[in-house]
Formats: sequence, structure tokens, C-alpha cells
Amino acid sequence: MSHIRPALRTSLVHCLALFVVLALPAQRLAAQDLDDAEKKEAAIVIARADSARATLVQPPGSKGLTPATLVRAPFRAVGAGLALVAGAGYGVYRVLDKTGTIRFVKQTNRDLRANDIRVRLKTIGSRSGLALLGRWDGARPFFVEGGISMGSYSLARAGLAFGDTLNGVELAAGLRRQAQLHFWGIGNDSREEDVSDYEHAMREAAVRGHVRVLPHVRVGGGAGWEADRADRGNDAMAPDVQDVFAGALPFGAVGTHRFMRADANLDLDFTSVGGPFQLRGVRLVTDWSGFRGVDESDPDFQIASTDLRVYLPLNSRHAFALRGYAADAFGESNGDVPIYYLATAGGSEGLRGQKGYRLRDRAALIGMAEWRYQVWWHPGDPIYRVDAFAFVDHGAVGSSLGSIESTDFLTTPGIGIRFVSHGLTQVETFLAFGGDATPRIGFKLGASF
Amino acid sequence: MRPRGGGSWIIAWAVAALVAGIALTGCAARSFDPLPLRPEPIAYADTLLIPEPEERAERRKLRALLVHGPLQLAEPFDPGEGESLNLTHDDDVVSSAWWERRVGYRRITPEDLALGPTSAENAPATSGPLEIKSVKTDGVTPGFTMKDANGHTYIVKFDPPGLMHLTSAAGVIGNRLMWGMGFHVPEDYVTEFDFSRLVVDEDATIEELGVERPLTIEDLRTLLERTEPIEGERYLAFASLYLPGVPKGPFFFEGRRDDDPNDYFDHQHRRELRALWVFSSWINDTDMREGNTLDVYVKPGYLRHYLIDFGATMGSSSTRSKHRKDETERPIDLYRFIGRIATLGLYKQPWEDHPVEPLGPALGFMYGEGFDPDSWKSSWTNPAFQDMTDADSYWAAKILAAFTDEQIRGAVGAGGFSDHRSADTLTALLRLRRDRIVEYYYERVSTVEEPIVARQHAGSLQLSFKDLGIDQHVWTPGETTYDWRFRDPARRLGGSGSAQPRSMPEQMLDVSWTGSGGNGGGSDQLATLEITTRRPGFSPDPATVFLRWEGEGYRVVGIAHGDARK
Repeated sequence: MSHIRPALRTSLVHCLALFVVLALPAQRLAAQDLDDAEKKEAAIVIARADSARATLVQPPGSKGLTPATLVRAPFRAVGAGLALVAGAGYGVYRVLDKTGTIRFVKQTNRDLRANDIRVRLKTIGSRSGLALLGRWDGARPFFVEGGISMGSYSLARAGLAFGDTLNGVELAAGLRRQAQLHFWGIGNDSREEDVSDYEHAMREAAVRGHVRVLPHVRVGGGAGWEADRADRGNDAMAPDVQDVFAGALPFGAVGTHRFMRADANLDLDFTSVGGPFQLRGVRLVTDWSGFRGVDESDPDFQIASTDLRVYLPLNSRHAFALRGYAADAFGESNGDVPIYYLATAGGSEGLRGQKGYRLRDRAALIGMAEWRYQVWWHPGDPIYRVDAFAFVDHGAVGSSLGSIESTDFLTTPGIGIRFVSHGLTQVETFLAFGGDATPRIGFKLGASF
Repeated sequence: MRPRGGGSWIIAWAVAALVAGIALTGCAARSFDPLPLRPEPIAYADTLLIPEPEERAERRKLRALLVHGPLQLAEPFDPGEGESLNLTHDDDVVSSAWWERRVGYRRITPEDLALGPTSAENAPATSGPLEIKSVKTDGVTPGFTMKDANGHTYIVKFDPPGLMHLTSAAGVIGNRLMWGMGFHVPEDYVTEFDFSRLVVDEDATIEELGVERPLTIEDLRTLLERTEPIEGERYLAFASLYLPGVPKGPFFFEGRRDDDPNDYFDHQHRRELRALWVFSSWINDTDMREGNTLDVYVKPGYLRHYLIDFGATMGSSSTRSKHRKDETERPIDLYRFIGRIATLGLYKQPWEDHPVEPLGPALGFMYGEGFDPDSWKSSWTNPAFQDMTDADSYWAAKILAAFTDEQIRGAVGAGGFSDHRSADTLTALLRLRRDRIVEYYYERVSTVEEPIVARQHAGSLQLSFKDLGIDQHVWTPGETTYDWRFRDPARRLGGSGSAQPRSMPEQMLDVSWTGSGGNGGGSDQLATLEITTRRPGFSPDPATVFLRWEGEGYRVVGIAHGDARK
């Protein structure tokens, strides 16, 4: 059925063109298959084709610069900029690949695993930067682990580990050094310009255990000895705590304290990942630690915290998530709570408009609320998706929970996106307002809560 | 020190510069004569001999940054490039190394369409050894390169487990239909074989944990565990014959290939590439992108441009069934992504509220009654698709309208479904989608074809033409009114009027004019007769019939459909 009228003249030029083609000797022109004589002949044939092509009279084949070209140009420029950045990254990758570095690293990792050594990239603590951590389990239950970070943080531990993540006991001794923790002062009215840093090194020997007593209930406990040393930090961009707060140095900001400590922990976890990979349920985690000074100059104190998280999906795409966090210190004698055991607010642990650890005091009270919604997903492949979240964080610190007034609270709203795999956040980034530097851009491996 | 408000000042100037630039570019943009005053493209002019070009790569990630992403972001503001350039005076396209006139142009039986580009001689041998040259180990489903007893080499793929026929049938049916629509495609087959026929080429290797080693028959057995046998150790496979020539990498949907002197028209201005959007929407080829095209240096020595791999057409998404989302939203749809973020998740698309209900394991899912040609999307932004005009889409719709129900059934029959119900369902879906597309794109232009001056007198003429909308029963004569406007600027004549169609295929329009008359005009001065086919509820852009005054009367010298700018 041909409702499309064949144009006579089109058929004529069609025939003419075919004649031009067929008049030329039909032979393969693949250069690699030809000897010198054949190459010469091919060049002649192609020259004849070029002559024939030059005689063809055709409509314009191009439009040159058009309004559409101009409209697209800025978007193409952005794309080209991104390509340049990506190209630089790819260039580095190619160099590593060409020099065999990637293959070497992969092979080394395989060899290490074959020898029960696991190597990971993580962090060791606040402001540690990326850390390289290794753990050897080759003579179970004995283990050794260690690591070092870009911020000169270090970790070294060894001991015996029995059981697994549900039921287990660990008897270990080790050292963790955090070289440049930031401190702004104590209380809600601490000033941004008082930023300073210190080093905290902790040596410990302890036994800790955990057991799942019911399907959703886990309890843990432990006891041990530890020595905490505070000293000058190594952040060249921030002055030292000992200099900024020389007149009123916080307790524990310099020198060494030794403690015997005991810990207890209760974890009621009624969360689950169900439906289209959605987190739902309630989780309550309560921690308590008691410290008794070893020497006369070392203080006694106790700290406790409770963390309640509620995940409420409204439908397959939207959910509310709430978090309440309270921490307090009590039972002090022979001194105060050291700087490194004070409760904190700020960063992705709570009050995201502020930097991590921005507020410190003996007690903290934080509320976080999130409206979570899916922005990219494929129902045919629901494992991976991108969620967005709008949040409001509300928090304050004080000398005790009872002393925190409603006027003390700082509110920092914001918005962010998360990459979610199997219902669990792998990485998130957000934009928060209301803190010292507005807006604050945050980035976190895993979810804030 | 920068004055206050410096940022907004710069933005204001940038916007003003952009607007001025667009205005100036609009003025400076190359303007073209009316269609009949331009030379016509020459059929097969791009099959002249050329030196063998270099092979080039798709560079998909780079193109995503340089082309696909930017064009998607520019989409809401993009005025488009306007009319195609490779058009005949009849608003048509000639055969070339890109596309050939098939369905709608010449007689093609359902049996022809069932065969498409294939032949019995080139089909995979049904006996004798099948020598495995290489294997594909990544991905959900296995794949081989295989040489049969006749010496033919094929790329072989398999259906996902539990979804027998899904990919293989889609691949072959899509291949036949795309061939019928006029594109160059490989010879694709559905074939069956027993595992016992497989032998491993002595040079074949497999990569395991980054280390290459010789391939073994046990490796093949392990690979085939990722698909499902028909029974025992008998397998169903999709086999694509190696193309006859030297592969030179994919073609792109904009610009030209520098090392191909035959590549005359910018690809984004080729009507057949623009209209590929419409063709792809019919067979639901959401994976239409550069990577699924191939330039091949064929004998006697020119580049032929192929479309390849139709495994993700119809209801198949290659490794799974398609979902409602697949044909209505791109995998990365930047504005919808931003829209969802900005509205706190309140913005949503219709597909979000409906669970996917595959039509069956062999068919997957594609829209039937719910199919909307306007909202169909391919997964990748495409410069040629972006520039498609109403005239381009109408041209494609005419070709689809020429596909008979029997031809569709013939193509579906090549898919090798083991049950009639799947074949019947898919045939019905394709018919439905064809009709939707035809109706949708016919609405956008005035469907006037084959105009001829039947009679003429002083001050009037009678124009004979076909109205495809009535001819193909999309609308009835009673629903249609013709509005016409005649202008001859050279002879200073003009006239306008309305008329009703006749209840027969050939329409007649009486056109009269007034004015000073005279023997003005010449080869570069044409009269135009604009005919608008007004239908219930809408009035499309007119078809423009070009007439030349030849001393004693007018003669039709060309026709254009729709507004050349959109």
C-alpha cells in the first residue's frame, strides 16, 4: 500500500547515482589488505568517486549557527566543565591503571584477604580525614588491628574476640590518638571565633560483651582501665585550647587522667527494612558509663545518654523520621567531667546547621525531625535509589538537663539528599541553615540517623 | 569594591546578552529558499567510494556529559533547529546509506517482513558443531560469539531466567519492524541448540578474578546456568549474524563524520534520524542511543549506517521486564529529579501510582490503551529527536500507517513465541500503538498529499489531492472542513475560502482569487496555496502547496507540511 507518491525525478537521480557507483570497480578498499599496486588503483578509484561527488548538486547539508545552538551553548559549557573535571579524574585513573598500580592494589588486597587481613578506608574520629585501617584475624580468637589517617590520627589494638555481632565478648588493649579535635568553649554561648584544638590520646585495657536476650533486645556491658592524655593539637589553622582558654582552661584539657571504668548498654531495636526497601519502626539505645579515678588527682563521674529513633513511612515513597537525644553527667567528685567526655551538639549527630562538636557541656538535649521522600528510583530495580529529606534540628547544651531553658535552643533547618542501597543510606549530603556559617554543607558516609 | 547588588547586575546582563544573542543569531541564521527552489537530495549519493575510515568509540560517559546531559537541561528552553534538510520537493526522504524506502513505498508481504534482512542460507545451522570463540561473563545473562558449521559467526544472547522469549523475541521482532520502517539492521535470528553441539575454540579465553585462562566446556555449562533451558540441555537463543563489512564504531545523532566524505547532511537535520523517535516509540525502543548503532565499511567501499540490538524493545528491558516508568521517564530525568526535591516529594508522575503488571513472562510490559505518543521517552536524550518537527513526525506516522495488521502479525511471528496468546497480545498492542501514533501525529499537521492542478480557468483552479486523515479513516468527511488561502506575490493575486471534503478518496478544492494578475513571476517566484484540514476541536498548521505560474496556468511543484520552525 503506497500512499507516498514516488517522485519521478527522485527516481531518475537515484538511477544516475547508482550508475556512478556501479561504474566504479566493485572492490574492497580496506587499506590493510592491499599491496602497493592495489593501493594506487584504489586511490584512483577514490579520486573518481571524489570527482563524481563534487558534481552532485544537493540541498544545504548544514544550518550553521542557529538560535537553538546558542540556547544549548551554556548548558554544553557546563557539561564541558564537568567533563574536564571528570577527565582529570579519569586521567589519574588511567595513569594508575597504566602503571599497574590498580592491579597491584587489587592483587595486594586479595593476598591480604587470603592471609586473613582486612584493609578498609574509614575514619578514626572527628576531623581524622580518611584513614587506612587493617585487621588481622589469622589466629582466631586473637586479633590485631591498626590504622593511620590523613589527619595524623592513629589506632592500635589487639586482643581476643569471641562470638559475633549479636552475641560476643572482646578482651582487648589498645591506643587511639586523635590529633586535632576542635573546641569552642563550654555552653550555648560559646563563640565561633574561639575555635581551638587539642589532642586526645586514650590507652585502654577492657573487656566488653553483648548478648541478644530477646529478638529485639540486646544488652551489653564491660569494664576496664584507661588513661586519657590531652595535649596541644596539630591543626595549623586553629590555635590551641591551652592558648585560647588559658584563663579558664576546661578540666582535662591538659595532662593525663587514669580511670577504672564500667559500661552498660541497652538496645531495643524494633526497626526493619520492608516493603520497597523502607526503614520503619522504633529504636531506643541507652548507654551508661561510670568512671573512678585511679590517682588522687583523677575525678570520679558518670555519664549517660539515651537515643530514641522513630521511622514512620506514610506510603511507599514518603516517611517521617524523628530522633530525640539526651545526655547528662552526674556523680562527679574530686574534679569535673573531662573535656573529652562532655556531651556535644552539632554536625550530623544532631544540630546539622552547626559544625560537629560545636557545642559542649555536661548535658545535651537534641530533637531531629525529617520528612523523607524518594526523588529517584526505578520500580523495576528498587534496590538503589536517591532520597531527599527536609529537616529541622533543635538542640541545646547545658550544665544539666534540668538547667536547659527553652530559650537556649538553636534551630537549624535544611534539606539534603541520600543515596540509599537496600533501604540503608550509604552516603548523604545536606545544606543546613541557622548555624554559625549559613548555609552549611554537610557530607556523611551513612545516615545522620 | 564591588557595588551592592553586583551579582544580580551580572545576571541581568548575562540574560540580556543571551536574549540579544538569540535575536542576532535568529537574524543571522542561514535562511533557506522554499523547498521546491532548493536542489533535491540524491538517492544513494552517500554510497560513493571512500577511503576506509578509522574505527571510533562511543565514549558513552563523555557523551553523557557533553551531549545528553546539556541537551536535557536545555530542553525546556530549546527552540529546536527547525525543518530537516534532506527533503525532496514532496516533503519526502530518498533512500541512502542510512535508510531505504520499504513499507509504504513498495510491496512488502507479511512473509517478506517476517524475514526482514534475513535469509534461510544465513540462519544458524541446525546441525553440526557450534564453535564458541569468546564469552561474555559480566551482566545478568550469558553471551557468546559463535561460529556454526556453515562458517557464519554470530553474537549469541539468552533470555533472563524465568523470562523465556522476553529478550530474544523482542530482539527479532524489533529487528523486523525496524527493517520494515526502512533502516539498515543486522540479520537477527531466534535459534535453538543442544549443549552437546558446543565446542570451545582453542584460542578462546575467559577472565577470572582479573586473570585470563583458556575457556573450557565446563565454563560454558556454568554460564548457561544463568539462563533457562527449553528442556534438558536444549537452549533457546538470540543470534545476530556478524555484519558484512568492517565495523567502524557507532554513528552519532548530531554533526557529521569527518572521515566520511559521503556524510553530507548534519545528522540532526536528517529526517529519518529525527523521526526515529516516532519509530522507536512504536516498538518501545527505549534504549535507542549511539551505542546501539554501528557504521560498517561495506563493499565496494562506503559506510552503511546500521541500527543494532533490539533486545530492549517492546516489553523487554533486556535483563528484566519493562516497567511503566521505562517509556515515560528517562532513567536520569534531571528536571523531574529537581521537581521532586523542590516540591518535597509532592510532584509525581502517573506511573508512580500503578504497580507493574507484566503481560506475561514472555512479553514483559508495555503500554497499550494507556500509550501516549506525546509522553513517550527514550532513555537517552537525543539531539536528532530534540529537533524533530511536526512534518518529520507526520512523515514517520505515514510509514507506520502503511503497516498492515498482517504485516505486523508476520513480524511478530518471527519472534518464535511458543504460544499463540503471546503473539496475539503483542500483535494487538502494536496495532493499538500504531493507531495511536498515527492519530496523534496526523492531528498536528494538515494531511494533504499528492496535490495536482486538475483544472484551471482565469481567476480559479481546481486542486485534486488526498486527505490521508480521511483516506485512512482517522476522521470522517463530515468532521472535516478545509480552509484555504491562495497567494501569488509576484502576480499580486490572493484569495481565501473554506470547503467541505467529498466522501471519496480524491478530494477537490475550488480555489479562486482576485488581484491585478499579469504574467509576473518566474522560476524563483512561487505561488502558495495553504490548506488547513480543520477537525473537531483543533486546527493544525496548514499544508503549503507550492505552485509555479507557467504562462498559461499553475503547476504544482512541491508541498510542505506544518510550520518549518516546529
